[in-house]
Amino acid sequence: MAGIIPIDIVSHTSLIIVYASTLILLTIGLNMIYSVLKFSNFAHAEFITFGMFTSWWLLQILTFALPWDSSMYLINNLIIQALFAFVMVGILGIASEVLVFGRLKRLAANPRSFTVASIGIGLVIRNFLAMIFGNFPKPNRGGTSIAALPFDIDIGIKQTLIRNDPFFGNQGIFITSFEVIIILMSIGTVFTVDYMFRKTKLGIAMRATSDSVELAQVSGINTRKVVFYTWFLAAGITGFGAALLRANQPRFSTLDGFMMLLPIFAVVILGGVGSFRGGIISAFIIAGVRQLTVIIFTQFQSPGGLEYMIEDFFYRITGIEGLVITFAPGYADGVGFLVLIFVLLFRPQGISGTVEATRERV
Amino acid sequence: MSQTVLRGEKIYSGYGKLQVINGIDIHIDEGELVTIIGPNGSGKSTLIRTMIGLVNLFDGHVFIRDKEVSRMKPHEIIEAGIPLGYVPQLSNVFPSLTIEENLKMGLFVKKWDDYYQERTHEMFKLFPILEERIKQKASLLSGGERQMLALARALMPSPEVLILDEPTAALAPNLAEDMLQLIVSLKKELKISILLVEQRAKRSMELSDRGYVLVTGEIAAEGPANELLAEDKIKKLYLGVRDRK
Repeated sequence: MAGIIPIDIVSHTSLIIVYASTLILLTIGLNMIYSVLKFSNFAHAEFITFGMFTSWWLLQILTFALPWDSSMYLINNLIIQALFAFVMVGILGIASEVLVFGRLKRLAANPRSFTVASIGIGLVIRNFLAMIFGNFPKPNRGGTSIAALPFDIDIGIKQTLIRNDPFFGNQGIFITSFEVIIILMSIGTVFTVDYMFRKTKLGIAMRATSDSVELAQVSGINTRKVVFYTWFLAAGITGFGAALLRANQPRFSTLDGFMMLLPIFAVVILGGVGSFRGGIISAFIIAGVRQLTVIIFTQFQSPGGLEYMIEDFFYRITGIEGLVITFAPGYADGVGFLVLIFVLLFRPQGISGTVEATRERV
Repeated sequence: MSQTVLRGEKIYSGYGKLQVINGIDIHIDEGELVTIIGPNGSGKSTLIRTMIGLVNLFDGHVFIRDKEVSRMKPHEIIEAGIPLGYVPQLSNVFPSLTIEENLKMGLFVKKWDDYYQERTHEMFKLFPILEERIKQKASLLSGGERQMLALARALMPSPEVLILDEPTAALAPNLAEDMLQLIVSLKKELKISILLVEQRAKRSMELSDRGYVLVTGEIAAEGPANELLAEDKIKKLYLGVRDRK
C-alpha cells in the first residue's frame, strides 16, 4: 500500500550514500595528483578501467594457477583482487611518470601539454585493454567473472523498515555486501589520506613539493621520490576502488572508467581542487542531486505525470501525436552538472575554498 | 686563522648548453659576511644556485668545509648533514604550509620531535611575530614576515653557512634596511658565515666584510668591502655613486 509519501526515501538515501562513497573513493587519486603535481590527469578514467581489468585478470589467472583451491578462497577473494589492482595501477602510475610526465617536466612543458598527454595515455590504455581482452571481457573457460568476499558472512543491509504505513508507505534499505565495503573503504581511505597529507612527514613533503620543488629540494626532500610515491598511492587507491566497483557490477567494459570521469571531475571541481574534505561534501551533493532528479523524472514519466501533460498539450495545439519532452532518469547526471555550474558562478574556488577561507579568518 | 666554510674553484655552470658562469673562484671564511654584487644578468643567482646543486656544474669544484659537494643534488647535500641554509629570492616559503610546518621543513632530514622545540624557541627569540602566528598558513604573511619565516626556516638546522639570494628584493625601502641590519645581527649573534647576493649594492657592501663584483659570469673585482667601496670605477659602475662635479 502506498502511503502519503509516494517514494521510498530510505532506499534512495542509501543509493545516494553508495554513489557518493564510490565517487569519493575514485576521486582521491585525481585530487592527490592535482594537489601535488598541479595538472588534471585525464588518464585517471583509464586508471579506473585498468583497475577493473587487473582485478578480473587476477581472478582468471588464479582460476588456472591454483586448481587445488577448491573453496576458491584465494582464487576469488575480493580483497586480494583489490590489493593486486592497487599494486598494478600504482605501477601504471609510476610508468606514466617515468615514460611521459617526467620527460615533459624536464622539457619544461606547460600544463596544457601535461593534460593533453594524459588524454593520450588514457586512450592508449583503453585501446590496449580492448585489443587484449575485448570491450566486454568474459570469463575464460572454467573461470568466473563474479567477485566474492573473503568471508561467508553477508554484511549487506537488506531490511524493510516500514511496510504499508498509511503515511510513509514502504521504506526499506538495500545495500549489498560490496557496497558496504565501498562505503567503509571510502570513509577509511579519505580520512587516512587527509591525515597523511596534513600530519605525516610524507604528506607534508608532498605539499611542500607542490608549493616549490626547489625549496623542497634545498630542505632535504628528494622530490623525485615524492613524485613517485604520489603516483603510486594516487593510482593505487584508484585501482583499489575500481576493483571494488567492478565487484559490484554484473559486467564491465573498457568504457566504464571514462563514463565515471565527468562525475569525478565534477566532484573535484565542486569540492575545491586538491581538497579531500570538500570532495566529501561535493560527492554527496552530486549524488544527492542525481538521485533527486531520478526521483522527480520518474514521477514525471509516471501515468498522468508532466511528460504526459506536455504530450497532451502539444497534441491539443498541433494535432500531432508523439511530440514530447522526455524526462528519462538517465539525464540525471546532466542536472548534477547544472548544479556544479551554478555553484561555481558564486564560488569559483569550489566549496572547500569557502571553508578554508573561513577557517583562516577564524 | 679563520677557516674557509664555503669554497668554489674554477666554477663553470649554466642552463642546458648555455654557459653562464665562466671559471669563478670564490670562498667564504668562518664568521664572514660576503656580498656578491653585479648588474642584472651577471650570473649572481646562478653562481650561488650552482654551489648548492640547483644549477648544472659543467666544470670545477665546490666544497663546504672540507666536504666536496660538486654535482651533489641539493637534497643529498642536506641529507649528508652538511651545515647549509639557503633562502631563494622567489618562492622562499611554502605558502600552503603553516608557519609551524615551514619551520619543521628546516629540520626535514632530522627527527622533528627531537629538535623542534629547542630550535623554534631560539627562532621565536629572533622573530617573535612567528610565534604569534604559528598555526597560520604562510600565504597569509606580509612580505617582511615571509622573509623572516624564510630566514627562520633556513636557520632551523643551525647552519654554519647561510646563503641569501636578494632578501630585500620584495621589500619596501625601510623594511629592506631593517632586513640588512637583521642579517648583520644574525652574523654576530649566531656566529655564522653569510653569502649574500644583493641588488642594494652600496648599502650591502657597507655592511659586509668582503665582496665580489660579478660581470657576465666572471669576477670583475673582489676584496675587502671597504676597499671595493673606495674604488672609483666600482663606485660609478656598480654602486650607483655619481660624481658631484
